[in-house]
Amino acid sequence: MLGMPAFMAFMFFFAFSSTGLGEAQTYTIGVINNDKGINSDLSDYLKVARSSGFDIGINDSTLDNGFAADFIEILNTTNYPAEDNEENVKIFHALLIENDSMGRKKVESREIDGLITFGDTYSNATLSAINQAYKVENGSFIDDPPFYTGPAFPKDYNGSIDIIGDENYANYLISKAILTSFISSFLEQIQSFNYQGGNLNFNIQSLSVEEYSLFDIMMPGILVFAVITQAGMIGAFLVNEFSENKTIIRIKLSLIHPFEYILGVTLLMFIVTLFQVIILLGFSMIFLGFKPIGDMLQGIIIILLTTFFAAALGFFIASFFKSSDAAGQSSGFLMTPIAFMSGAFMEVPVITIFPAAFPTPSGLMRDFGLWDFVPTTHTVNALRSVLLYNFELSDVLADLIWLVVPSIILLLLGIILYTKQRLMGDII
Amino acid sequence: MTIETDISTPAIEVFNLTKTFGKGDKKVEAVKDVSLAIKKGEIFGFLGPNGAGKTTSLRMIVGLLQPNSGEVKICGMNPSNRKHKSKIKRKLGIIPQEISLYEELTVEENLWFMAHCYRMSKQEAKPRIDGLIAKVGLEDKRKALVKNLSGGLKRRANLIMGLVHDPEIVLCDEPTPGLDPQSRVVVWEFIKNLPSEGKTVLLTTHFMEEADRLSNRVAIIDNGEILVLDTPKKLKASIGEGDLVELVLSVKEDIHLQKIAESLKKMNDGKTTIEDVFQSGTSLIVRSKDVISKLSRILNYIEEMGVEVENMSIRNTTLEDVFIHLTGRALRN
Repeated sequence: MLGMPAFMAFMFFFAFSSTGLGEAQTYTIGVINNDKGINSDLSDYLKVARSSGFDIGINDSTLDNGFAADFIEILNTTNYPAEDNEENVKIFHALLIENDSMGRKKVESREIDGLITFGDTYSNATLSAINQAYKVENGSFIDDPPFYTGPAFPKDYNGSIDIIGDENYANYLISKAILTSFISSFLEQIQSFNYQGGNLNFNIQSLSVEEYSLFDIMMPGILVFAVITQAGMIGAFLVNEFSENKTIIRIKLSLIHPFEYILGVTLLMFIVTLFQVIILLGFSMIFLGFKPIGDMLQGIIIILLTTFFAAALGFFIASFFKSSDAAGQSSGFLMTPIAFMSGAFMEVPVITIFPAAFPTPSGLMRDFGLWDFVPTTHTVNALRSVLLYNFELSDVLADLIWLVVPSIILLLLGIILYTKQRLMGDII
Repeated sequence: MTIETDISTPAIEVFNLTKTFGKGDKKVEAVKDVSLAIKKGEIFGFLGPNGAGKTTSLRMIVGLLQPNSGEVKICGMNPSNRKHKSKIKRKLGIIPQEISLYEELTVEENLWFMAHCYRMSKQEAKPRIDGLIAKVGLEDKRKALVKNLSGGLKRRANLIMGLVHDPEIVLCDEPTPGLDPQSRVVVWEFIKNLPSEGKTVLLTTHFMEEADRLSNRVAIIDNGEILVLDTPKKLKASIGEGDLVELVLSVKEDIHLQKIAESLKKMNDGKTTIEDVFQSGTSLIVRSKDVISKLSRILNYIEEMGVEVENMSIRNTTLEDVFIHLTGRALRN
């Protein structure tokens, strides 16, 4: 068990390095451009100065339309790194939006993945920063006499870029991460100069757009609880076969291999789980107002993968209990704590074992806690991410690996134990 | 291969089989040094009271239980030998003591399931299943769910479940407890006919009538030991000739019954000779040749002792009497 994190890290390395985070997707970013552009006197001066050989690397269109327009152009034309034999895919599609309230509505309705707002002094603030940089490099400001004779260019402009989006929305989290890295590197360049004048601010605001009810948040946990409760049911069934129906004696003496029998039982469990989940999801959506926005099929796949864990528990129960009643009741005192530890019913405090060691669906790292050793913790996490926050299976790959790999190991141990205890004669 | 085709090879051979359960003070020797050989085509009865070691012996014979010592051979093959396991499994069919059926399946579905468990083809299984259902009179119930059948009908279905794959050796573990007389006759007839299909039967039972009627040879087992092993006729003859009178007297205490028994044994008026008298529960059993002609004198003799005869029955010697003779207890006790 101590070697498990290293093993998992190895698995993650191969999984992520080979598959990436999924297919390239173009994110739609709403843009509110309040930028009033560069001070016209200075803009005119720079155009004229360039013809006289003084060029600071700002083209005419930027001087006419401002730095925000330039930024928007870059957003619209930047592609993902081209793969062999693949067409270029744009990272962003910038959609101009008139005002803030409309932008926020589009964020809420998820018509756009995020919203960028450029402040009205963005261009002047940016030029102030460039001016400062120029001074550091050349000993004078761009607008210093004797070349410039117009009105003094203010050096204390404050400009801003605001990013707004729904933290519960995977597309926003991904586009925010790309934009943040893009803007941060730009700001770092500017801030590397000893700029004493104005300031260029970069703000991120998060909206809690999707108002999920407590029931919505709990629903993935309820699904998990329903599945693992089946362990008691399957345990009772197996015990019944062994000690009450006694049909197991016929199986033992027949030509059937113990693994065929076990496979049949596990398959049965998968089918029962599938129907159970479809009924539970359907009922909760129609009658209880559960409104997942993610892909239901992917959610069902996650639940079906949890069946491995439930089957493992079922075989352990069947190996130790001798009456079907006791096996059935075991689901109460065994499954409920497991469900609690998994965070199925409520958030459980994280007991950190490895800080910042586990990848979240949005690509960040979170602490790996004690409860992460319980496979169903990852079912709950993955289900919430997929059903409520619209992540893809590839985004929750780490959770899926931590769900499936320990479950399969437990299942194999359970099968071996059950086979030895119940399914094989001493000799034959 | 020669082993399997050799008809002189016994179907089942058991050598010095021993099984103990528990440890220390709680150690129980369930089977003690049991050896026997069951010939092909015979019905071999294992007769003994509950807890005598019959089922434990049977479980060791089929390989479900590891003996502490001893060896078992099925048609000359050793179940411990990995290569023989499949062959042995094909040869063995078990009719367990408990009704071992899938309650949620129909009778026919249960049988088909067993056919699949023995890798039988559809062409092979279909006539076999139809034949077995007909043999036990379950044609009308073949589509009925097992859970809806009466106890007797379930027992009949239980009987044929282990025979779908047409095994050479059939192990019947207490096949008739709790059965109504009609179903019991069906089961008995079924078992009795198995040797005519070339099958060998090992029957464990605590019903002496069942063992007597069905078995070619009987081993009487008690406390894990085989006490005697022979044909029912020879076993009955072994305790002496004559018919039996079972007497229920007005006195029930052991001490009084023993005194009366001793007294009856010495009764010799020149015309009446008593071969044997023994106690069976609260009854006395008197064995004598031509017992009917001596009956009035026996009754008078008892009345002269001031004891009333409350009930009386005359019957032939049974295996129960053999068991009582050997152990001093009735099988039912």
